[in-house]
Amino acid sequence: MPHILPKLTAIINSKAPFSNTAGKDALDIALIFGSFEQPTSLFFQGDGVWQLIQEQNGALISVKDYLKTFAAFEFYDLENIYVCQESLFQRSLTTDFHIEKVQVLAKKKFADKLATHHTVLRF
Amino acid sequence: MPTLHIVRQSTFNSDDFTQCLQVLRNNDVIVFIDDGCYNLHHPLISTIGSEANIQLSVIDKHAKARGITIDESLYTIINMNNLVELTLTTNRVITWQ
Amino acid sequence: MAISLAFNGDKIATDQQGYLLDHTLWQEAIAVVMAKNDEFELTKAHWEVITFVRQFYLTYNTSPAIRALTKAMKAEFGEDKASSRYLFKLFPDGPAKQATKYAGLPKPKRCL
Repeated sequence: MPHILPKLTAIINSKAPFSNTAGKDALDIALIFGSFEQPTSLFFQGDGVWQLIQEQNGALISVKDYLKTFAAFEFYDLENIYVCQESLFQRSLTTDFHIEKVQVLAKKKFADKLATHHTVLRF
Repeated sequence: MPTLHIVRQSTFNSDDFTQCLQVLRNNDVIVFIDDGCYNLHHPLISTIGSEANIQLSVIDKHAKARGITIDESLYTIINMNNLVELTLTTNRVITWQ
Repeated sequence: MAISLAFNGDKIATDQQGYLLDHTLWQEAIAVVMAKNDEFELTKAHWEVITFVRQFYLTYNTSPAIRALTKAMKAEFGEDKASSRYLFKLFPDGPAKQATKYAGLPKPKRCL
């Protein structure tokens, strides 16, 4: 049987968590890919980095707090989480995230990492 | 290993084009379509160095429909068929919208 | 209240497949009633999974799909209880679907 390399999928999160359903949609897709053993990486860029900051509580504005599900990524084999350092810097954000094992990458490295994926979905 | 970047939003209205430039790599292709055509004369364009060898393309009708002039020394003018061809000659597509 | 579960003289709202609409109303006795209605026997091993699934939901705000459930259970209980075979033996209709129901949670959207 020929050896087929798995197709790598990148999901870019570019929207703040509660302004629309983009973040929730991206999460649903990531969990489905994970459940079907499709290697998937998550990228956070632009306002998407707001999804990672601590002490958020969607319940206060009647939004289902899907951010809590991020802590379960390891059970879905979602182990490659990359954040754009420049996007953090532009928003005066530190690297204190509400989940662990997040890799902060400088612009060039972030771009190079993204380019190692075959399919890129952006939300 | 070029990436095809399809830019659909005016950068006067959204951060999408800026984020596209953040991950731009040498030899990538950018196609401006829909409201992405409003970026053609934006100062950000001049931040793309010529040494990066980026192909900048514009969907002809999308720019003309919006009354935007295309500097042909800077941009390659293409149609929708050319865009489809570009998806086949590049390694991945990112839609910025 | 079109569809509901009779419990202690009360009516508790459920969806068409018997999943509670409000997971905060759950208590162990409700799981017992649900299982009885299904003619399904809950053993200690079942309870272990039901409790685990409920805790997963309360922690992560989502019902685990089967693969995530087995991975999470592996971390908690070790290898032999962490196979989908073991879970399907306990819950023949699908562990994620069945255990979440008795745990008072919404049906997992990602069906497997």
